[in-house]
Amino acid sequence: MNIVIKLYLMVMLLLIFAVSAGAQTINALIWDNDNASHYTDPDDYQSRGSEYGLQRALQANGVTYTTLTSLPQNLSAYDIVFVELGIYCVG
Amino acid sequence: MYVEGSNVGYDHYTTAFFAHLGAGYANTGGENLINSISGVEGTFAAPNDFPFPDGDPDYGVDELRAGQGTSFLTCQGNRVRAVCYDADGYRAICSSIILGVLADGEFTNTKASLMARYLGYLTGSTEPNICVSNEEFDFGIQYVNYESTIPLGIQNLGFADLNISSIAISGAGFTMDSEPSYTLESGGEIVLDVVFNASEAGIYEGEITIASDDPDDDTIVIELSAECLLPPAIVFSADELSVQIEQNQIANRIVTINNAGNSDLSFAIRLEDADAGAVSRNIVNSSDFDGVMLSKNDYDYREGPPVICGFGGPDDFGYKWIDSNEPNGPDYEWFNISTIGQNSGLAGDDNSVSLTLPFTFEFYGQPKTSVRVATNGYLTFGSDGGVYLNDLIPGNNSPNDVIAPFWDDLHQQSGTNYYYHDVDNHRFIIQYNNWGFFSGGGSLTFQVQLYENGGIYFYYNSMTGTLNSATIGIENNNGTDGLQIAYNTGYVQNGLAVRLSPGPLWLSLDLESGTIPAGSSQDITFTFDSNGLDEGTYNAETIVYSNDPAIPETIIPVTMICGPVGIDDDLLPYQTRLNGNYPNPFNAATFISFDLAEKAQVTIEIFNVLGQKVITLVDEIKEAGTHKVKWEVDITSGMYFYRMKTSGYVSTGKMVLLK
Repeated sequence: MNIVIKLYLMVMLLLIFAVSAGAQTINALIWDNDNASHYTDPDDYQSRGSEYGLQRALQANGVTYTTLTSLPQNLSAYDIVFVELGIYCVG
Repeated sequence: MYVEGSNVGYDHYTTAFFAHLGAGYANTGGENLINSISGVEGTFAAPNDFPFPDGDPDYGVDELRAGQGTSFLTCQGNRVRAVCYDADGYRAICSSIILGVLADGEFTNTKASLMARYLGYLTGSTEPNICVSNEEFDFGIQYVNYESTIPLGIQNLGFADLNISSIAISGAGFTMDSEPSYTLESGGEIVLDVVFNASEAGIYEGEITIASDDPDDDTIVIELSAECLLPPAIVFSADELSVQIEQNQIANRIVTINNAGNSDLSFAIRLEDADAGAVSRNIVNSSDFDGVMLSKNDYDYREGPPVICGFGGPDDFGYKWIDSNEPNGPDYEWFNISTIGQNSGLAGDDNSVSLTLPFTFEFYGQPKTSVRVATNGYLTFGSDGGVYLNDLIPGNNSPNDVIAPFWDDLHQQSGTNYYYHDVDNHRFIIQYNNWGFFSGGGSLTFQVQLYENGGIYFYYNSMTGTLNSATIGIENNNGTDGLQIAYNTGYVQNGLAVRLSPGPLWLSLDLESGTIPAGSSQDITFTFDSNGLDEGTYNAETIVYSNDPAIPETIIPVTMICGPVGIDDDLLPYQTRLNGNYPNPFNAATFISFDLAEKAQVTIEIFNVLGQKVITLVDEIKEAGTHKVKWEVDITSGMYFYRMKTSGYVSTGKMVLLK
C-alpha cells in the first residue's frame, strides 16, 4: 500500500465486554462518534466516513452490527463496541 | 478493560467520549496516557504508564499485517499500534489503526482478513484460522517454454496453531515446491511459489487443494488458469545506427522492427542520451515575468510571451517539446476514456487525488510510482495539489514536480476526471472531461498521457472559455528546471497534441510504441537534427522494450557525426522526404532541407496565408541525397507555407517570418 495515514490524526477504540470464547454469533456496535468526519477512501477515491470500511470488513466476516451516533447506556446487547473518535478532538 | 494511546489521552480527553466514560488522563512526560476510566457499569479501569511495546506511538502507517503475541497486528517499521491487554475477563484495544481509512492491503493483508484477526482476539478465540492470499490464480498470457511464477501466501490469522496436513497441486503445466505438511503458529505465514511452464500452446487449468484443521474451512481449493501462446520474436533491421551530416541539417533513417514469432509483439522505445553533460542548441527561450499574487476570481491581467513556434527546449535535463502543427510533431489521435476509464473521484475546487501509477514513470531522472491529480489542471509528484494561481515555469513557487497540461483556476463544475491504463500501448491516461473554470463558463476536455518510456503527451479535444490564462509545461521537483510551453497566452486549440520527451536533443522518433502482428513489421523513422549544434560526435541509446520473452530489452547504439560531409553513397537518405526549415521562426533567411531517395525533378514553392504563391525556390532535377535551399526574404512578417513536389511525393511545411 502506498497510502500513508498519519496515525495521530485518527483514533478508533475497540472494546469488548464479557468475552465468551467460542461464541457463535457476534453482535457489534459501531459508535460513530466522529462528528461525521469524512476522508478520501484510498481504494476508490470516494469521500466517505470511516465507518464504511469498518462495516465492509465486518460484513466480510459475517458479523451483525449496528451503527449509532450516540452511545447507549446499556451495552449488554453487544459483544464488541467500536468507537470512532475521528480526527483530533472532533469526537 | 484496558486503554492505551497517547492520542487518546491527549487529543480526546475533553471530548464526549471521555465524559461519557468518566475517564481522565495523565501527562507523564513524553506520552499522554489515560490514568483512569470508570465508565459504563463500573467495568472500566486503566492504569497509567502503559509501556508502548515499540516506542513512538505517533507513527504513520501505510501497511498493516498480522503479528504475533500481544502485538497481533503491526505496521511498518515493526511499530505496534494495536496494543491489547487481557485482564479480569475483559479485552480492549485502543488503536489509531483504522481499517476503514487504510487502503485494502495486498496479499493476506486485506481489511477482511485483518478484521478476522481482530475478531478472533476480541472473542477470545482459541481456534486456528487459515487465510490464503489468492482465491484463484490467473497467469494470463504466457509463452511456450517460458516459466512464470506467482507467490501464494498462507497465513494463520487465528489464535491456536494451524496444522496444514496436505497441499496438492493438479493440472498440466502447474507445479509448486512445498512440504507435505506445515504447522503455523498464530500469525505465522508461509509463501510458496506457484509455477506455470508449458511446452505446447493451449488453455491450461488446474487446482491447488489445501487441507487443514481450521474448523470453519478445512479444505481450500484455489483455481489455476493460463493461456499459453507461441511467443513473438523481435528482429531489428539494424543493430546500430550511425549518421554523418553537416551542421544545420535534418536527416532521417529507418529501422524496421519485424515480428518473426507467432503472436502479437508489443514494444515501447525509449531514447537516452549517452553523452556526458547536456547538449544545448543556440536557441533563446526565456521569459522574465515575475509572479504576482491574485485572489480567486481576481482579473488575471498578466500576459505572457507569445508562442511563436510549435517546438522548444531543451531544458537543462534535456526535455524538449513539439506539437502536432510541426512536420515531425505527434499526430492528434483522441483516445476517449470517458466510457472505459475509472472515475478518479476528483471533485470540487482546489482539490486533488493521488493515483497509483501502473508502472514506474521516470520524471527528471527520478522514479515515480504515484501521481497527484489536481482540479486546477495539473499533475504533481509532490503533495501540493491545491494551487489555483498558475505561475511561470520553472520557478520556486509551489507546486513543483509538475506536469501541467492546463494549469489555471479551474473547477470540477459538471465535469468528471477519469484515468485508464492502456496496457497494450504502455501508457497511463488521465482525462479531464467537460471540466470547468472556477469563475464559470467554458468547458475543457483534455488529456495527459504518461508513457512507460518517460514520454508525456497532452491532447486537447474540446476547449472553450478563457484559454489564454493558463500555464502549460513541466517542472522538476525543486523548481530549478522546466519547460514552459505557454504562459498566459493564446496557444491551446481543439485538435492540438503536444509531445514532451526526455530523449537526446538531436534525435527523435515518429513512433514510440505499438503492437506488431505475427509475421508483420513496423518502420521506425529516426530523425537526426543538427540545427544549432556544434561540430562533433553525438551518442545515444535506443532502448526497445518488448514482450518477446527471449529479448525483453534491446539497446541500439546511435551516433550522429556533425560536420562536413563528402559524397558517400552509403550515407544517402533512405526515402524522399521534406525535412523542414531552420531556423524557424526566422528573420532574414531560412534553409529548407529535403532528402531524395533517387534523382528527381523537384519543385519547392512558397505561399502566403492567402494561398498566393510568393516565390518558386527550386524547379530543377536534383541528385539523390540530402539538400538544402536558402530563402532570403524582404517581405512582411507572417506565416508562410512551403511545398515540395516530386513525381511521387508532395509535402508542405509551415514557417514564421519575424521582422
